[in-house]
Amino acid sequence: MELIAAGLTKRYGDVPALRGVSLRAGPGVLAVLGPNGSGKTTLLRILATALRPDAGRACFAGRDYGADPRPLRRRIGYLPQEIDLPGHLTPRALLHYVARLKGVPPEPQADALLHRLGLGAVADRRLQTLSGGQARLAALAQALLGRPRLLILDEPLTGLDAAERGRVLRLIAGPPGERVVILSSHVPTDVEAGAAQVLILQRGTVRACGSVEAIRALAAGQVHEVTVPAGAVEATLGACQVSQMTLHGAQARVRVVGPLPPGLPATPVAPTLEDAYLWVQGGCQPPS
Amino acid sequence: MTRQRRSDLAAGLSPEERAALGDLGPLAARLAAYDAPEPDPADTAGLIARLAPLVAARAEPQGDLVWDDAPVTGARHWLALARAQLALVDHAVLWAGALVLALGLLVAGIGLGGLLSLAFALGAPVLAAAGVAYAFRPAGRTLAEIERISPVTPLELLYVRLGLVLAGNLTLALALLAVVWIEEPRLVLWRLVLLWLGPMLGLAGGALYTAARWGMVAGLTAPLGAWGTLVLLAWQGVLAPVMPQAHQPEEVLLHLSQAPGVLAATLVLLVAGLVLLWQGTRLVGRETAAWS
Repeated sequence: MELIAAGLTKRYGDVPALRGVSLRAGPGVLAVLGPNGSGKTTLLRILATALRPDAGRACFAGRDYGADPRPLRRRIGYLPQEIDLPGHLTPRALLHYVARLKGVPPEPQADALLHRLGLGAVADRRLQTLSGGQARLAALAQALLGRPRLLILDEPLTGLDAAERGRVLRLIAGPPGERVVILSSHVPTDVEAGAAQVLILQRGTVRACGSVEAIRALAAGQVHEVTVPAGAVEATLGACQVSQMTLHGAQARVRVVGPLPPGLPATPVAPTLEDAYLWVQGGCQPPS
Repeated sequence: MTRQRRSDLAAGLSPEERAALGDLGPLAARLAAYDAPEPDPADTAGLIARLAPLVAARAEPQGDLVWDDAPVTGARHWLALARAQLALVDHAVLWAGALVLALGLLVAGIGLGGLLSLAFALGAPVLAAAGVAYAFRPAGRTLAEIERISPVTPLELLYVRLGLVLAGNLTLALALLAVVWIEEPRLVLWRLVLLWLGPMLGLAGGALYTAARWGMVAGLTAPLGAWGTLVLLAWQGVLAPVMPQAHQPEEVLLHLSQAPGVLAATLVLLVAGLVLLWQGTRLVGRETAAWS
């Protein structure tokens, strides 16, 4: 069971959104990372069959995207990026509606999903009375209806607290081998623990793709920790890529990705996914 | 028994691990002597209620993915879709239907005497269209996107929504016509229904076909243009020779419900509307690929 896409290209007028993106994802979570405007949403909408590419092909589990969409769509769960749901619906009514669209019995799975996502207490309250995070969880629940084999989630962790993020990551991964999950995020730390593969997009092209370890390894030897006076961080490291900074009294401990100013004492550290993401986003070049 | 349990507890452990754990005999003895308390029936029922959905979810087949190419059709499918749509739409849909009927009655009641009433008659469909558009405004971009990738085609959703709107408006119209019929038993009720349904389906079919073939602007312009032409012709007196020479609304209705020519015209409109609806929906549903 694999999702394979080759040469996906999409333009909005004169603006290229995707430029020949290819990917291959097996069971597990593939995290698509990239800054705003990098083409994440366009890629996910194409893979969810919501948008037609200008060029390129894709297939999931041997099923061509150019064929009759209904069998494919019965196996896809999709969470769009923007959560703009009818306020008069309740989370339970939303799940029942989508279950009927998918042709699956609404219960008992709707109830089970709402409870597993911590929405049991608000299942019958109108969506307009819920918080943004709760509305996003309700939208996520609909994507999980009917045991989807291809789960496409556009920034599913936005607006969720740390406990909810962990719960959601465990839930969407499902049992081993159960499904292919493609999720987007622009926060690498959100997906570091849950993703098996990472794809980094920049300006519509794939900058890097591989396991979390392989992506981290791209920045090996490029990440250092330096300690400087807190008031001198900007003057000393203003031209550097900083991934993290913590204050210790009057001193700041700064994690720097890429080259350092000459002569600055630094300790090399193992890169995190965020460090590697910054390294790749920075073009793997010294900062200007 | 205790020896057996002790060996079970240490099964699979290396000699070093067994040594680190020490003598497991007392623990095994306590386990063997432990009598679990009988659970309270209420606790059992609560536990089963909590576990049932999870067990049902786990019991689904976990085998390899098998593609199901058979199209889902049949009365149950359509009923489920209609039920889903009913849950989605708000009461505003019924209000929009009532508004359209009220505007129609108002236009029929005030006639086309002066410029003001002419302007109102010309603008009434726009008001009605605005009301309907408001009632059926997009229910949210997220849901529209979810519907777009659902196995239900846009054509099926269109059929179900059209069916629901027609059913709602038909119910309102039948109730109204029944009241009229009670007042004037000489009226032929089924012909009155046709008188309403024929032009409505004709216009709806024309609008859908035009919109599917030439775009939304043409789809709006065609029915509104047809209505405007009809009103202007009536205002200019061009239609006077074919209109009944009566002043009371019930007399007009009586004439219309009994005239063979009117019946034939409404039947033609009804059939044309159905044909255009069919052709229009075929145009809408032509794209079948996933990336369409």
